[in-house]
Amino acid sequence: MIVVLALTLTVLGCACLYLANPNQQWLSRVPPRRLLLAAGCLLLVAGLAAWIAALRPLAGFFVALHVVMVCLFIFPYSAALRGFARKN
Amino acid sequence: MIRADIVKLYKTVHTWTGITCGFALFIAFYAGALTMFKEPISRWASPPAVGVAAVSLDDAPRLLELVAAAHPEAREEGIKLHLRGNENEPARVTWEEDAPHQEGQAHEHVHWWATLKPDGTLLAKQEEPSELADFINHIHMRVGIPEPWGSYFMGVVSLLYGVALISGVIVLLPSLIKDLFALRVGKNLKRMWLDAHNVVGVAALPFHIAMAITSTALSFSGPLWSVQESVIFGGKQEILNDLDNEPFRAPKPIGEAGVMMPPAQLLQKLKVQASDFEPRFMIFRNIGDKAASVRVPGAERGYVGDTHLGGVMLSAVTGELLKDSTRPSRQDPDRRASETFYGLHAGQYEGATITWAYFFLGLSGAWLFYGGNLLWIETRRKNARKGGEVEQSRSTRLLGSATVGVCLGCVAGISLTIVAAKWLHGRVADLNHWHELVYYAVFLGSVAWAFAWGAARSAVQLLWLCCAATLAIPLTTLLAALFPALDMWAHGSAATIGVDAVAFIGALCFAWMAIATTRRIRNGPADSIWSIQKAGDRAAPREPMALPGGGSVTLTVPIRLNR
Amino acid sequence: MPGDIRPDWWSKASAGAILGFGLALSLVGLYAYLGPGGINAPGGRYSLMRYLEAFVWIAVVGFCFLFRSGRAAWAWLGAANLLAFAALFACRFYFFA
Repeated sequence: MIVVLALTLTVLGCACLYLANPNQQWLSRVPPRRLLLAAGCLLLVAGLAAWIAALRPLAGFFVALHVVMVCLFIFPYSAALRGFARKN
Repeated sequence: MIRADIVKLYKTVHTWTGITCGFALFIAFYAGALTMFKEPISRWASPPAVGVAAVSLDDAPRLLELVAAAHPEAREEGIKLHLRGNENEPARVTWEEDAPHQEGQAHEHVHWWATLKPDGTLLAKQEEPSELADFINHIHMRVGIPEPWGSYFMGVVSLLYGVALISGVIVLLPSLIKDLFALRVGKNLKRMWLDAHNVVGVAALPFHIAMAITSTALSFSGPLWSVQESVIFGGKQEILNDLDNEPFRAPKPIGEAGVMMPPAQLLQKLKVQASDFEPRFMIFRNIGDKAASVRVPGAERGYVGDTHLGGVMLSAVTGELLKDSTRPSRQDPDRRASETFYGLHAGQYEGATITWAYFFLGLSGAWLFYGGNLLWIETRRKNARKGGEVEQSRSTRLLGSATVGVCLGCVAGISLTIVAAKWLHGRVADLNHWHELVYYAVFLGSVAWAFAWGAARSAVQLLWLCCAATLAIPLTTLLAALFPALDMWAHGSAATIGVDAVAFIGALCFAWMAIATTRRIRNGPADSIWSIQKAGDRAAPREPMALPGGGSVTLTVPIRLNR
Repeated sequence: MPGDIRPDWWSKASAGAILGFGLALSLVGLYAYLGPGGINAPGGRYSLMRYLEAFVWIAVVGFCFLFRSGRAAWAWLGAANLLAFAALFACRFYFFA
């Protein structure tokens, strides 16, 4: 259960960070970037804490890191693929 | 700010290391991503068997006793008692024996399993398990080159991969912040491929750094051990000494008879003495002797590298802990650090989240190298056009063909060799050898095909081959379930159905790529190796011509590539 | 910093590969002697050393193109090797005399 929570927090945190980036292609209008940045950082810290609670500090850190890595390349690709599909 | 001449210098370093290693790294990453599901693939490929459940844990003592009496070599070398009941565990107990061999020569092992017949007597049989998952792992570790050269080759490749990472980051630094997460799909193909390459490379950088270091160390493991011993210690200190094997060595039998504790009770004793330890299986040695022992490999959750090497040893008579120094919480700091490196390479921690994360990261790595090669070709294309030259250079055509042939050949080869596990089982004498034959035939055939037909057309054809080969995985299971006369099997566990489901999704992805590539080679810019249109033919139709048969366009348009 | 960087591909790459490996081995070897527990540390030490060696080796090959020329790469890395190996052999002599 705590794994599901940790995963959700981490993915949501990454989504906020992606939206906070000027190069994001998900939304045409986004909430204030500072707000997103702060929310993303908070969610990621909460996610990391949940992972550490589920495992041990080192393993928790690495799980969070790898989930973040996957999100950060899947989000841009998902936006690009959507644009690609719309064009064709 | 980083100097422009340094960036230029490292661009060259990045190009050369990337192009030379790209192929091997694609294979290593694709096969490595699949190796994350080694266990499910092994279960998928294992034929139906007696199974672990045929003998309950309470009846296990009798089975162990009978095996020990009938097979003295197994009694001495270890009898494995399975606990989980997965499809790749043929029966409650299994063991290995030496194949007939000359004294002191390298030799193979033969595998046995044993169960109890309904009347309570022993049924033991020699049967070789499927080595499909190990074969995929071998492709991952040494791209199919025999030992020891495969390891040395991959060691060099891994080192250059590390250099490619460093140079890639240096090249990217000036535009890192500005272009972060940018993926601009559009007319500028070079821009698009560069973005696609950078997004994956930057986001997964820590993963790649860890992989470069660990794969270099693991590939060069043997030479590094011996050079450490000779150079650092001048041969005065054995570094792979007996002390390291001590935790795994069973006590010598003393010749006195002893009463064995039943496995279920041993597991309870273990639970009391090491509460966080999750046993995977048990290996009994010297059953019937007062000094009989049982080694229990297993995991301690929460540690990085939680299952590798770790385990405990109990007395099979009293259930007391005999040896307990290898599980993560008992490892010395250096071993823990080393196992952490290993765990980071193999994704051995946490569980499903990490397995899937590594799977996607591995595929993204394969994509990184594939895309890197395409980017190089696209860059060269632009250069050629600037010089007023329309014909693409020989090197870009050859690299394009090689990229398509090697990468897609590896994908199709692995898929077909997985399929062969069911179709060829019971129909050929040495299935594990056939796995290799199928893979190499498809791989080498695809490479030859790509060079014969050129990158553009072979890409479409081989992508359809990949799609068909991967789709054959769930189709085979479906056929096996529908037509029992085919003498194949369809396991019902979530893990094996997961293999079929992932293969189905993978096949859909390949089909989508094949369709997209078809569109590209017909309608995309003609001055590219990815086009089958006549170079400079600006009036080329933007839509596929309405000709009978999908492939007829390719016949009516003059082909530049095959000249 | 004034002055151009010469490419000198082969001389720099060979310096990085050969002397980088020497540096990796000697520096990590010093850790084997002088790290916590010394030469009597448990066997996990030697397992860990492989990863550390790979790290140093990759870093040296990766960054050796920053040297101004191939000759500079050989000179600097050679000097570093000399120092590190001198220290390593001193340790070896001291512990195994």
